[in-house]
Amino acid sequence: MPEQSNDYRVVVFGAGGVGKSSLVLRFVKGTFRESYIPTIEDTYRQVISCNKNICTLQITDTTGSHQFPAMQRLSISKGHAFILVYSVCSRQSLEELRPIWEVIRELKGPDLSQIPIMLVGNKCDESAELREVSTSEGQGQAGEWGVSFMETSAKTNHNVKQLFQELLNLEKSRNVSLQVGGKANSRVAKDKCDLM
Amino acid sequence: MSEVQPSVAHMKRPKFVGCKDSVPSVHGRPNNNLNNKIRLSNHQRNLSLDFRSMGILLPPVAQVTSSSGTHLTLHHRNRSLDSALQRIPEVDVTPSPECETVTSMLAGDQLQADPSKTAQRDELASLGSDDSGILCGSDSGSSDSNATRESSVEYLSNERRQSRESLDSDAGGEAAAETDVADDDSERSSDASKGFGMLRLLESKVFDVSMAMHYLFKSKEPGVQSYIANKMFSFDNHEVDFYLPQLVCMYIQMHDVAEVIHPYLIHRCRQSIDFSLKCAWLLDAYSSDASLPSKKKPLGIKLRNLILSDELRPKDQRTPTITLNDKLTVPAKKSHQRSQSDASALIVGMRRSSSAGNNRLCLGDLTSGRAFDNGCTCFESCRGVVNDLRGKKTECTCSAPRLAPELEFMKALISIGKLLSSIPTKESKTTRLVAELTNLNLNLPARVWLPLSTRPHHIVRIPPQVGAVLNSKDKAPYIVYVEVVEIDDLHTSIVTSKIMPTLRHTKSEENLGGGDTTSLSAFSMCGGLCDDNDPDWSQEDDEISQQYTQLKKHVDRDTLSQMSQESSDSREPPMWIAAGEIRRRLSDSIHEEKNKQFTHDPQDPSAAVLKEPWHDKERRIRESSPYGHLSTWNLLSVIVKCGDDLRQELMASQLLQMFQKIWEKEHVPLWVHPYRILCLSNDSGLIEPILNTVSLHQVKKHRQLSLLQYFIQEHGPPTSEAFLTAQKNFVQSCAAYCLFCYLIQVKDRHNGNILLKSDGHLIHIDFGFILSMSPKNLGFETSPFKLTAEFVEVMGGDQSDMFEYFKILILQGLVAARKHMDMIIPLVEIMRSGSQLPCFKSGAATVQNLKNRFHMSMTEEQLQLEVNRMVEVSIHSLSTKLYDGFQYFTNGIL
Repeated sequence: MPEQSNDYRVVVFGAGGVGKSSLVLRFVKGTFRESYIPTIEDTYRQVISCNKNICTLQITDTTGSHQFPAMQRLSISKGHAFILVYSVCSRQSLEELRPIWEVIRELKGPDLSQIPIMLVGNKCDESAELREVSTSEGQGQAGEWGVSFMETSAKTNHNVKQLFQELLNLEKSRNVSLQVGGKANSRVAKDKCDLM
Repeated sequence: MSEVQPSVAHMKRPKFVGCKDSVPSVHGRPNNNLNNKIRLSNHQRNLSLDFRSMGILLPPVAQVTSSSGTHLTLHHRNRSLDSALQRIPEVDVTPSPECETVTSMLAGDQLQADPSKTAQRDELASLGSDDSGILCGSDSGSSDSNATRESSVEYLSNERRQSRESLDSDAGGEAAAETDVADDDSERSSDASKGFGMLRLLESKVFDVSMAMHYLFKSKEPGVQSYIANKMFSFDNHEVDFYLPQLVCMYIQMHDVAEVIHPYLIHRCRQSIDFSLKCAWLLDAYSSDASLPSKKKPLGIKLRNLILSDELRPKDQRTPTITLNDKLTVPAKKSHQRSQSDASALIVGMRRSSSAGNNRLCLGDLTSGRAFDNGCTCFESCRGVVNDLRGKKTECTCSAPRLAPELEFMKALISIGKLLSSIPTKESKTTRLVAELTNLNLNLPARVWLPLSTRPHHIVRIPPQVGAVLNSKDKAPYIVYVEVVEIDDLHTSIVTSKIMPTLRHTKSEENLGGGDTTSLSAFSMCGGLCDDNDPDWSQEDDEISQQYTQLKKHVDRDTLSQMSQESSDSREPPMWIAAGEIRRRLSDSIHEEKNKQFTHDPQDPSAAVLKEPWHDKERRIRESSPYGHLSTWNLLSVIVKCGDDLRQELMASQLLQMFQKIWEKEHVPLWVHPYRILCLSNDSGLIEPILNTVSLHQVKKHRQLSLLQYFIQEHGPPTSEAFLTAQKNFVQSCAAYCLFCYLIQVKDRHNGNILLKSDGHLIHIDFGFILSMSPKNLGFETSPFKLTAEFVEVMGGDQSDMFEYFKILILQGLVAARKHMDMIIPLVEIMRSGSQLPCFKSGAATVQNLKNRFHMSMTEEQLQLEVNRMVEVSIHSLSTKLYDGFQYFTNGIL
């Protein structure tokens, strides 16, 4: 079955427990839960506008706890935009993004500069003593990779919507926007696509 | 009591840890949710304990233990429970979905004693024995509930001070152990909590249809049963419909349940013809088991006859004598006092003379052309049309038999199936099928529908050429495609008038490109339109007809919106594409897809039919249909099966749906495809076909390729995006079905029963051998599930990370299923009580074995080892290979 060409696919990567699912859930559903449930893979859909048409923003929330290179490659080759998440409380989690970044660079090749990628330091609400990665360090890493940077907190809803907005703004090949007649936050059921 | 607890708790803990919860996650997930659960469960306990701590002495009550099936409870209940029920506080503990399992576990086993304790709480001294009180409960209770709520708050605060357990549990420390302590005391404490917990549970938000079924089945307490039966009126119809087989089973088997759910069934039957029919068919199917004690039989049969007698019509709104209807439409807590007498009063009120006195009716006579016409014209009449325009509902007043058309239609489908099974060869079967369907077509359109589809529709035509007889050794299941128009309401919408293919056939044929014989009547779709319009449009010119069709469609729908849609070109192609365009695309797709088609095989005519992609088929049929121009046109398909008992399939389908629900809820990306089943009797029924699939057997036979090669051929090289997507789909579905096959013990897994969807998903079909039955019980298929080396090869080999993913999926799927086991067990348990299906031949052990396969006692690490073990065993299973060989030699299935 051919994949819906209308979909705009965003893939979220990051080590286990950095808050990928929390960011996505905060954005899609506006909720936050304290408990940690490792994700295997989840996909969320949301209606956005693309070149003034309605299209589906498909957010793939990947697993951080298990490494499945084949699945990773698949998500990367299918993805239109990427969010690389680390936790500001774990330098390790930033380090773990490097291999993923390399795969993206390898798979996307010359198109790389055209692809919206955000490096995101999550959990920025944590107190200063827990912090292991400073804002400027994150900024520096983003600069090295040539991607945009932002610090967020899914818990306090800081910069979450801005993150996705900014990501879509980076898309230059088409005009994607969260605004769909003011109703950006409606989650679309999977089967809504087969309308007449 | 409380001072001995710590030590007891200590002793008991290991056992508890062993038996539920506390599955430390593999990935080091903190056990937050589990802790929550335990805490909540302790709250339940606390409530029970506070009875003791408040110094209330409980009268001796027979022991209630969860293991013993028969509970002897002394119902010391006094005059009325009203007052007791009022006192149920709107407690602080609102059970959340998290604690669902625990709540039900607690309340479930303790159900029996429910009223006794509530009563005790109210008034300890009096020991009357009267079982009727509970019914009146909340009616009178609502008045002074505020006052009682205050007092209950007092109770609760008392409890907090006095109960050490609650302190402990709040502290969260000894949580696990306490639950066990409570178990220890179950005779006293659980008794005490029963009524209290039960009622609170019934009133709580977590009390869903699944739990309602469970308690209807388990409870022997008339009060609880009727409470639940009343509660059912407030459930969503769709959700209840899912459990219809269970309801019917209980209706037939359990006299007490039948009594309480009778009003509900009657109510639903009145509302909907579709429900009436489904109910009647199921009653018929499940009443058939010969070994039923004869005295039980009449109930189910009686209800079926009542339904089929067509007396359950929508109630006349103007009849003021019966207030029941009003109550039903407001299914609040208030409507408790209902009894059979109300229902029977209703029936009397509804009785009409059913003799239509119309001798023009030829129901069931397929040669008449009106075999499915019950003679009712209420909705076509001026009154009906006017009402429709005014948005009012028209009621049928002509007392024509409402159920007859659909009944006759199903009868016709079944008799075709019976006829086919008597014909020897596949070729002649197919020819005969075409002839029979053509005959059937004469009687369409009519007010008939496929009961499998959820969207209301009327069947307008069955294209005879696209039907096919399916592979089967001695029976003759067949697949038909039916053209329908979607409508608002099955019963009241006007039936589409008949459109005959016109004389333009020859004209259009001339214009067809050579070889494109599929679109014989390409333009007959315009036939129905031309009589009220421009008579001279019918030129031979393709273009004119194209324009016409387009024009016409614009008029049919909102012109402006249509235009604006047209301008937004990136959308899906609108459905009114002109015929010529359809044909062009069709032939394009045929050319490019040609190498993907299976060649026609006289021995296996269904392979080619089923391989054709659904969209192509839909387009092709729409193009050739005289009804194709209707905007509500749609194509459905159905497999008609005769001579097979589909009741097991039905249960398997329910189970699949349940697993699907659970996995979705728990965010485990496992994929299954439950297909709908309709039992028409115990040896016939309808099955929803799975679109765009071929069986592994067909892949092997027609392509002579290994599965991996087939994947590469269909989807591209192993590194391509398409292949990886298909591979992912394959892994996610294969893991799901492996787990399902293991838990439900699905056997007879030869390659003819495993389908491959065009997007790579694997789908198992045919659940004729499940639970405690396997084919001929030869001892083949001893492995937990079928996992061949070929499957593993598609996943990338047993060292690949997709294979790791596969195992993790199975584990997570099992963990999720285990968490919601109490949604699965009742489905099986209730069916077991009500039927003599072969899958239940080991009796009660069937259910127990099923429970055991969930491995409730294992930690998550142990479970992971178990999953790995099962996967290993399955891959290297000799018996799987043996069984495939056996199938090859006996049935020729590769």
